[in-house]
Amino acid sequence: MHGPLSRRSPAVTGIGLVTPAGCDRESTWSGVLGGRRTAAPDPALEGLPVALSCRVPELDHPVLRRRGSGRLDRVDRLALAAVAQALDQAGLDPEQWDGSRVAVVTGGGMGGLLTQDQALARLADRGPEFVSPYFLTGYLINMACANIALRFGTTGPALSTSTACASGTTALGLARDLIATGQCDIALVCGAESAITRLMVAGFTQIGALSGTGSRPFDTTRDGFVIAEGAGALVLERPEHAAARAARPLARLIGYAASTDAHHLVAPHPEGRGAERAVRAALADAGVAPGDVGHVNAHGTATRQNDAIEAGVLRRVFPHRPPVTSAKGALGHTLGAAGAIEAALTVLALAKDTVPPTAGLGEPDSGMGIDVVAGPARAHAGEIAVSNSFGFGGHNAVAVLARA
Amino acid sequence: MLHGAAKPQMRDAVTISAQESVLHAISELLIEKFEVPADEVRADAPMRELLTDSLMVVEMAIAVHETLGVKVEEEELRATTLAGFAEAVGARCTDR
Repeated sequence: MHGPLSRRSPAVTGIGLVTPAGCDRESTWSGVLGGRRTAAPDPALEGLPVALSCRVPELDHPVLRRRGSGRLDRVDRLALAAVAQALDQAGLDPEQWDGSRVAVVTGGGMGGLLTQDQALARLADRGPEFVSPYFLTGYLINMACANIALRFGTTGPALSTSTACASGTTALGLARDLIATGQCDIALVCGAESAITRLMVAGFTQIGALSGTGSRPFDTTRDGFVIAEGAGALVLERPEHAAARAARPLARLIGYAASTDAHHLVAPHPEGRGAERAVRAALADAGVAPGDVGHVNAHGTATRQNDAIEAGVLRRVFPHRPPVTSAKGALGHTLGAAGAIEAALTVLALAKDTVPPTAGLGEPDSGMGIDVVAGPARAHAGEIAVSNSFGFGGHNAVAVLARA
Repeated sequence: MLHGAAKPQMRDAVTISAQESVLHAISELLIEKFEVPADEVRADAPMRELLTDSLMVVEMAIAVHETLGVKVEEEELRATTLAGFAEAVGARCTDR
């Protein structure tokens, strides 16, 4: 079933980032590299038991100044800005390409929750005839995908994936497969989430997943994640297609695998069996040995359970102790967007040969037995890196990226 | 000029005619809520050219109902010019 290697290892020719550290690639990288924590008290969450969030500052991009952008849900605005950046870096002009050979795969857990909140309020306060006809176009979970296709004129396959906090990585894997099976030459992958609402924060609080004090991945004192919003985009391209237009790849996606715990709706398997299978399968898919991996971008949510279980998986699979980093100390947890944002950060780490630190990590949990990067960034990211994503529902998705 | 002028308050209706005030309010909705370029918002512009799809028409009917207290049918919204629409809405405003 293995196709030609090149088809199975698409080039990453562009990335875009819109995160709490900044509205573009450079500001996001510099915030993560500097270990800058973005969590802040959120006035919209006032009165709730947890009122911390990581919000994207001053969202703006030329793509959002076109007519009709104002009524888009925030999640779609985040997605469009990230994809526009990625296309720009890839040097792809939607006026020039054959749109029927371009796919879109998005990842997100929630859809347009802010639009839903507004529509619910209008239904309750004023009645059904005052509910906006734009409620559904803002709320449906596939609309980030549809907006990207509409705005950039892509008419190949378009899919919206939802595996909770693994969605962004699931999208990457699915996009890889669309290229591998010849269904497209280019795939626009985007993880996007804008779910900082009072209901969502109340819900995550009831599950015991949120920290009221800050995100501290792999730290002895960690007590949960901080909810965040953001988007990450990657342009995947069939290598021959990229070469034909003399595009310079930033990295290659050389492996991917997914698994499911089938253990509990939200608790991870206590021994991380599903997660470990996904990591090992992704390495096998890439045709590399564990010892070839130069660093790991961990899921690292800063919940007690995730980090202990993930550390156990990494300890078993990678006895050579490659450096491990979690972006969630800086950016918070962007839920369905996290996998795409972190894959994009992993591409940057490989390209810049630098592993960013884990912000918020002061006292590494000594029981973990892994080398988590704390303090300053670490030189040497290696040739190959792994990016993990694990979601509520027991979804595990792992990407293996290699320096171009 | 419609764009940029202060938003008329209904209590000013003694100084601004009801008709002008309604035209102004609808024009403001078109520019701010529907992002129509200000120079396209002319009294003789057909509404179907200002509101280019059916969702926009429904949204305008809701906005007029909400801001001016007048219920309009989607069909009458489609079939006229901006001035014609403002006149129809204005007539019902003064009827109240």
